[in-house]
Amino acid sequence: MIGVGKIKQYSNVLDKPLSKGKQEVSLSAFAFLFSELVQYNQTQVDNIAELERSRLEDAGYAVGARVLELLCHRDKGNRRETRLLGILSFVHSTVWKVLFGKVADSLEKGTEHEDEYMISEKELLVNRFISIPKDMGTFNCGAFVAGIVRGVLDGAGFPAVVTAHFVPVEGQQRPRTTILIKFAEEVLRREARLG
Amino acid sequence: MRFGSRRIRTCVFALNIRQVSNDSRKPTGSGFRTVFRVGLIYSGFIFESGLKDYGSSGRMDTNDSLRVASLWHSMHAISQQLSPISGCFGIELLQADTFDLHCFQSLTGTKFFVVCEPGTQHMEGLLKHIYELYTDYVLKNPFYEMEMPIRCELFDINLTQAIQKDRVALLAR
Repeated sequence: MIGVGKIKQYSNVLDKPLSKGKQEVSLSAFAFLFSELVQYNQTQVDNIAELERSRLEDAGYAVGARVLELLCHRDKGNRRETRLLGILSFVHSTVWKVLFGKVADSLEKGTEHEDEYMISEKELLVNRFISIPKDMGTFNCGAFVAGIVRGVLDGAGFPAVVTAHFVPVEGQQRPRTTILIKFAEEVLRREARLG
Repeated sequence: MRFGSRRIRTCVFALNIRQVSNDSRKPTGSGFRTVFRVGLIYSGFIFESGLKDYGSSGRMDTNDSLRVASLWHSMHAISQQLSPISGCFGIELLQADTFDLHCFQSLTGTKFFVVCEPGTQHMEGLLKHIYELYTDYVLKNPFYEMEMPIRCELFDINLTQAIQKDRVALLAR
């Protein structure tokens, strides 16, 4: 779901190479659809936290579960990552590339807690056209992407709590979005056992 | 006529711009000198639902903006009916002694206009660019309600950038 692709013009249709199919969808179409998704869910909830936590995140979760299935089949020959760092870099690069056409800006380990990891994006694709009104506080539509990440991790056997946050960057007008991943205890225990 | 069936929308925003006016001369190939008057944009408006005052430095408050917007809307509508040519879409340019008013109307009837110094060039391009920004950062924003004032941070940021770029381009000419 990245920007409108540059379509090369071929004078003769026979010169055109056979493609794997269309890999990209129109950014505008996606933006309008996503906008409608948010607007619809906004009418179905009582408060903003519910919209963020249960609505958008759940919508993303379903996408994530499917994306994992698809990518394991397509790229990995029906194998999946079993190690923590493996699955994180799978999300950071493979999943991001398929969904947003680029690798995520950064993947970091939390400094305060052992079980926390962060994926940061300077400008998250879903947030490109969205301005959050002041009265909505820390609400972030990146919750949808957080849901996708949670879906992928959960499906691969790494249950985690995933949230999206705005983090102000010095010298920049717009904050960046950080997807915070907090793994469940069992994941870390298993990881320690595997060594 | 189109006017009857069209919803009356009143909305305004005024751009946050104040340009230093100056003249620049540019020689052309044949030794002929053309004088370009570099524009001073007084204010710009989007006629739509919401109302937005892009801080015209205290010169115009919300009520003034609304007044200007509704005045322009009626003039625009009347001009469509008064026009000697059929299929007229309304005033595009209004030239007065002290200012030029360029208006751009989108297919849905949203009007964008810019009030600038007489003889300012390339306002059409600017208005089209503002229209593009409007469709991107206002209409694709789930938190914008139609017919309400435009309060979109990204729109403001990009609009300011567009105006500044325009000013730089004008001064460079």
